[in-house]
Amino acid sequence: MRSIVSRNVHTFEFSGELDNLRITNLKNVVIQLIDQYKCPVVQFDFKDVTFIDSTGIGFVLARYNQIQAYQGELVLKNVTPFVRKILAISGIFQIIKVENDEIRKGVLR
Amino acid sequence: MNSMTLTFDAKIENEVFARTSGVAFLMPLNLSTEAMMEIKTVLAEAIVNAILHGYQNRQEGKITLSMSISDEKELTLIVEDDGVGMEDVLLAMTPMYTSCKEQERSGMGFTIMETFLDSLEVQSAAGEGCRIIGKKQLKQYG
Repeated sequence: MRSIVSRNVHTFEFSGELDNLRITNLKNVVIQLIDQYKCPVVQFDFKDVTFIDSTGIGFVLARYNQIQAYQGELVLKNVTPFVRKILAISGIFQIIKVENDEIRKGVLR
Repeated sequence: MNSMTLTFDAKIENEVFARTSGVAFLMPLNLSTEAMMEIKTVLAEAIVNAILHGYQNRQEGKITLSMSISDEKELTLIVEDDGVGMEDVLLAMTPMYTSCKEQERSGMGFTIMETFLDSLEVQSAAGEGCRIIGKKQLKQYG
């Protein structure tokens, strides 16, 4: 996982299989980093994520609540079709915004 | 007909081993990536359920995963634990219901399993472990 803070946007880049073990290991670090910077926009970039399950849904929802608590915004980026499918089951997209680099590039072209 | 059975310690680090072995068993069927990912997720949900709920994350006890494919290409997967079981199976299967909210569980495990399977049966009672039986016809994915 990479954490980048630039111009008030805090980006977390996740990769590989975001399963129960990985999330358990990552969780506290992510909580701490979000709290440390309290950026108005926090982005979770899922470009290189190949697997996610209900643990991941719980993690995203809990971070959404954490960021909401200081009036920040959570944005999900580059959600791959599989990750989208899992997250969609929970109805998460009704409350959390999704951005896609590819789509943005397509519009610019 | 082809089948396999895997018994492993209920440790969270064995979840990746079990779900990966489960899909490896299906490799000769040449299924689509989509079908493989769906089955992998079902396995992850059922196994995490056994570790976290069945055995209360004590990292002890055994989990058995059995998978079989019929001649008609129907997959049956069974995940069994000998843990605390569930008093109210229907409540446990309700979307967003979780018995451990403080651990940031989403309560979506059974919903995901039901979404990706043709049928899901949960046999459990308080103190009597849990057996999850899922079926999925694989013909259209091969």
